[in-house]
Amino acid sequence: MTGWVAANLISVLNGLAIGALLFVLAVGLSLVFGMMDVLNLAHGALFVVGAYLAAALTGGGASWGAFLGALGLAAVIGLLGGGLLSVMTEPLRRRSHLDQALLTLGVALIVAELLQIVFGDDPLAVPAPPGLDGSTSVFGAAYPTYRLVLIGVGAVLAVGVWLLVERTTLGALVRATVADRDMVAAIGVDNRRVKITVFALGSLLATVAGVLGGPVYGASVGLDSTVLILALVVVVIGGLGSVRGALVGALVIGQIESLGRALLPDLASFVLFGALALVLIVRPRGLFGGRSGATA
Amino acid sequence: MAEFTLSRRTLLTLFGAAAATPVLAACGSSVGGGSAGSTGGGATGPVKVGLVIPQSGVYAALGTDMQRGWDLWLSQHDKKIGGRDVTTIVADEGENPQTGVPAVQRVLQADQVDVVVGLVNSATALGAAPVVSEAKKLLVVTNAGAADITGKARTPYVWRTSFQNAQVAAAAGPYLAQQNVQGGVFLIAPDYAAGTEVRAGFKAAYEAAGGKIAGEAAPPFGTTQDYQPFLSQIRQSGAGAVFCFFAGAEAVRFVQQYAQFGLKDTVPLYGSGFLTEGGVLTAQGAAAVGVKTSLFYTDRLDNPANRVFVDAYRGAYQAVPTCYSVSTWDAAAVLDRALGKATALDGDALSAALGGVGAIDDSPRGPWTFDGQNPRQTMYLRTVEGTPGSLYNAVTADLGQKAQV
Amino acid sequence: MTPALSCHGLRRSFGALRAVDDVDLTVEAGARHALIGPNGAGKSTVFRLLSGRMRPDAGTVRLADRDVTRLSEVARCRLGMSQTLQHTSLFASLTAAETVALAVRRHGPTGGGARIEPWPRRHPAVDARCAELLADVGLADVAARPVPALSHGERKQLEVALALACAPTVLMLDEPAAGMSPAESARLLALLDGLPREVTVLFVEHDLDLVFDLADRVTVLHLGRVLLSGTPDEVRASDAVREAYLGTGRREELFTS
Repeated sequence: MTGWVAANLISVLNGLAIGALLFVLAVGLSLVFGMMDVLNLAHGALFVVGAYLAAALTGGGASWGAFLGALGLAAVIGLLGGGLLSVMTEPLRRRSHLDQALLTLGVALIVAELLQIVFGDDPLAVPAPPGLDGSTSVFGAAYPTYRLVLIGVGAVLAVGVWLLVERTTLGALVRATVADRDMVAAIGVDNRRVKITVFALGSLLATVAGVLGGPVYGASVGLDSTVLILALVVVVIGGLGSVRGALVGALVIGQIESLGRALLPDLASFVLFGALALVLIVRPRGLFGGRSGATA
Repeated sequence: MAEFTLSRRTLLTLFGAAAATPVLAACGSSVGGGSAGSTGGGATGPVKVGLVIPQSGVYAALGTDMQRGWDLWLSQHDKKIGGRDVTTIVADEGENPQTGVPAVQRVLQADQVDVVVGLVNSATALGAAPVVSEAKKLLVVTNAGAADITGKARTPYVWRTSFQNAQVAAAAGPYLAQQNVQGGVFLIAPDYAAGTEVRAGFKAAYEAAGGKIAGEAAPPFGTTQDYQPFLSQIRQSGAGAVFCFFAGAEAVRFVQQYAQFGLKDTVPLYGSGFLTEGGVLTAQGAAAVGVKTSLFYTDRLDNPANRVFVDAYRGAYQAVPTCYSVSTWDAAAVLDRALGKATALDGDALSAALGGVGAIDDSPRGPWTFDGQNPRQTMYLRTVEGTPGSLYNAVTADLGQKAQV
Repeated sequence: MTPALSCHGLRRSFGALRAVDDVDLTVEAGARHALIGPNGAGKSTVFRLLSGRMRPDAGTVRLADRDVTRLSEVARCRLGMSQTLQHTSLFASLTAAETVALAVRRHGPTGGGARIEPWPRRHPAVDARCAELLADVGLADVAARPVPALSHGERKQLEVALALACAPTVLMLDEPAAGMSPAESARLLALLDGLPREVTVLFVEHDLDLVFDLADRVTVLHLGRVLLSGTPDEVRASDAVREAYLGTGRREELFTS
């Protein structure tokens, strides 16, 4: 019995680690979709760019220098990539979601193909930085040290993003734009610049998540669509354009993917989308989707 | 997800990036080709082969190995099969039947090939079977391992030089039963057709030999990034060993996470050979050392044919061959025998000729014969040895000749 | 004297429909100018063409002595044209005070333009200006309340405060009294009536009582064209206006006040 409890506590802990990573991945997607109505299907590709960067830089051997270098480079690429995506979707702002989704899907496909050409077809692994590559004993069982650290890093990033959005003027502007884009324009704020800023920061978080997720997920062809679907599920469950929603959605999905699969192994393929269906039936706008968040 | 890859390539072509990409440049082009000094004429006219292998998507790495195996055989044999000049038309199988079956149709209809070789995906092979049957052309499958391809859905036109999923897994059953694993063996493979065949194949062979299954798990295929819940289940089951089947990125993640969660040192990991074959082994690194798998080939096999093969392969591609290279190399080898005897290039003539090729004694995998339309071949237990960067599958045991299950 | 806002030859079509057809309009500085007309007259389209939300097919828009036809809504706002919108949800996750503060930070506590700084620094001047604006529109008591907790009338008042925070020379209101109770409507009237004369007001309104109480100048649109532009009395007396609204012979029912 104690063994059973300990094993499930490890699943809970693991759900936190996965949830932390999912939050970093999904919050940018949520804000960009909620604010500017741009469904950025290239978000998964940005994650994979980060993962491949980490694989490439740590390919010669794991070191802190390589790992932090990958984080820094991924952040810069994320900023530039996000800004570029924002500019690319700008001419389509008055068009339907579908047009923007098709454009970003096209970008995602091109990026994925280029990554495959540059880095090859074989799946690549990303070693955790020295000191974090071992295991720590938790509840009497070995648990990867890196994942413990990941929980902490995710928490720090979540607090950082929350402070930025809830406690700064830029954040107030972001929230205002989520709620009523036209009104923001009416008080004389150029919301294209707000959009570029949020797009760039959200994309930065996606590429950084790719590096952080490297030691867990590796880098491989097809990973982009898998993580994109996870991020979309997080956004749908949490509600659009809400930091709190993205955080809760990510933690819920983390637990479903971890504890849910551990408790219901026979329904492993079903629990994720079962939970999604349940949320959509009970709260069609997601757990934290406001009435105004998804309008216009 | 699957459709993404199809349109990914289409899109790239549209954007004109094709010119910059060597992989794409090979798409639809002819490799090999008839040489000026052909014997020509009569029953020894040229033969056109459609090599349908993945050039895009998650299986692209396998496609590369397959093409290398094919090209190597041709270059070692004066670019002739059965005395005929060969023209090879390469087509992209993609990830799934939606791309693979049309690719088969295309080489048959647009390129008018005489024989189709390749196919990684089992669903694609099963979908292509009626297509080649209707065209009365021969298809030699060089990877796809579903039992039905040469079993329930058998047609005289589809032969296989690779393996059957259950055949590979079942080979490890009696061996593990002999090891008398305390607590029994835990069985884990993804919840799709191949995974199910592996679980059923291993379970039947292991239990028949007196073993006890400690538990089973079927993680969602293609969407499982994290195996912790299943590793937790394994730990709780009290199993003394694990037998698994994973390929590609899933194989890398599973083997690494198996080590990270501390199971590697306490519960030995066994699996179907694809777990540690080719590029995935490099990515797995130290986590893979000691993992034991069953397969019909490893580049470390000590026989004269393999030594020559590995040297030539290394020389040509600066890489070690995989089972995927060998299956395709062998496809050329059996076609060589069949075309030498056959009077015509249609499927009926070639199928009849293949039925009479007898023992293939010059294969790098060791001697094998057709059992029905699938190889009867020796399986080996292989152990990952070496250090990260130079890992290899050493031969640990000869598991004996295995027929199709 | 230069008009505060004017347009000349303004046209805008939607497919075959000429929603706005050669409209000239002059809003004198300090005026309380109403834009009225029956449904489909093109009021909202003219409003959007003037505010910059929509681009005209032809014609020019001038703000004071400057041609702003090619300028965006945001740029026009910076030049002193401020507006409230007909359908607005305001900012659901902000309080009334935070909402106004956003605009005050954008335009500076004394007007004249500033930048929104990303980092929260307390500016006593910003806080003071916010409190002043909220008091002006009668929302001092609910400053700390989140926007969704405000009543419909209070939200409209907040919108006016938001528009005033932009330190406008021209204030444009799109149906400010829509959906208001008579009490709320009366309070809004008092608020607009009390605005300093340096602020020119142009408003689109359905409630003709409010129009004739507040406006000193009225332009009537009909089928995308200007039917009449004059004093409230001239509009009241016009048969053409009566016909446009009601068809013939029912004048009394239209103008009851």
